[in-house]
Amino acid sequence: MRRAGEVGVTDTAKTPTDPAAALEAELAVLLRRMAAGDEPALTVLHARLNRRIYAFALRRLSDPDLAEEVVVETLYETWRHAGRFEGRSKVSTWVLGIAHHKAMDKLRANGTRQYEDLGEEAEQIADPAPDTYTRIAQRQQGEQIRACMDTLPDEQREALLLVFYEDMTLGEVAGVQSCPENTVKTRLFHARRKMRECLERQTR
Amino acid sequence: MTDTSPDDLRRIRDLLPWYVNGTLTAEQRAEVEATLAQSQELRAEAEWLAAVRDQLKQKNDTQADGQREAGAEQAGLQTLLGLVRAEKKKRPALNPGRGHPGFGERLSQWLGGWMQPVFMVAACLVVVQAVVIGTLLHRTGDNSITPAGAAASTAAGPLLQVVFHETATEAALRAALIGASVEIVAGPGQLGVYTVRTAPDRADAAIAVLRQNAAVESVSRVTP
Repeated sequence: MRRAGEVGVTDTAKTPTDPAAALEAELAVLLRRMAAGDEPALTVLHARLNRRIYAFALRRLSDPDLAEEVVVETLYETWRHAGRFEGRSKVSTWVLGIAHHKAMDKLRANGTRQYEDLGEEAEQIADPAPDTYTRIAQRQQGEQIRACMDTLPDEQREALLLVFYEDMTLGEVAGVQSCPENTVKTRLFHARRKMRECLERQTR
Repeated sequence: MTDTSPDDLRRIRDLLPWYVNGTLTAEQRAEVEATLAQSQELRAEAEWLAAVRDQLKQKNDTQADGQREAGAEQAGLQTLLGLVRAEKKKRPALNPGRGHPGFGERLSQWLGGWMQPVFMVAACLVVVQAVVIGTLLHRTGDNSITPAGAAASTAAGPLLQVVFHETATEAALRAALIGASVEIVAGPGQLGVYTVRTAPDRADAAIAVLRQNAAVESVSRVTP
């Protein structure tokens, strides 16, 4: 019988040297074991991912208690559907996709979800003055950035966070948000414009 | 300034967040860098985005790595394991190591007793009926699942990807597809994305109709 702490990646032919790739390989093995009902594998998966899910949920919800609930609900869902993972994405991307839906449920239940408008009107807005970006970059503070991010619609804020916090590729963000890549690009386009305008006001 | 076209500038600008987080392919990265070398404005924007990313990732941001009060992680794990064990108790597993027996396992257990002969007779009847119905459909050629209005004209049309709002009902989904005269060719995928096909000359109209539909979250063209 294997104990929780002893669950490791022993059935992969080759362990990747890149730490991120090695983690993903381990997560894939854990998921296979979970699909076979291996509870210690779930314990290890929790150890590997709970902080990442918590941070992701907290940034979305700004409520520690709700973020804790998202961690539990996400990993429970992962356990229940472990056998459905088809390997088309990274395991972590798949799990964060579940967390995304759980967080959206919480926002919807609280009536605090901020919907986005992906209309084309923003493209008509004139480009900023040439030195705008340089001036903002010199003056902006972390607090101001976070305050401006809080004004973004949920999907746009999440897309920005997935790119800048999680360092996800375009395809991974699309996977987590269950949308086409072009939608992610549009979200980022609007998010950057709103951030720039907000920071322009904040740093005046 | 630059001789890059506005469309190319927009495309490169769209890639800047991934240039800044270092996840572009080598080819994309080279393309972005070539454009940045020509455009001071894009360079300034890229530097601004890098500054935003750095400040968001500062170590003094306590949210960044998901650390929290001691015991919170353990409490969460206990809650999680409690849920898993409660479910196992609720549904005694056929396979001792698995909390969720598959449909096949459950069916074979159910059929393991007196139902087996009855099931065999019923299964034979179903097969006979299927053959008869299949033959009739083949004769009439009416075995399409294309929504009314899509007709057979979508055969070689472009593909679109459609994502519906999570709250959209099946009726709303069906109405949206029929209204846009598209047919489902794949999906929903693991992430809820439907791939649909339009008639060759109706892609723009179908996209416009779908975008106006309240049940639709996003639409994008997959093939030209």
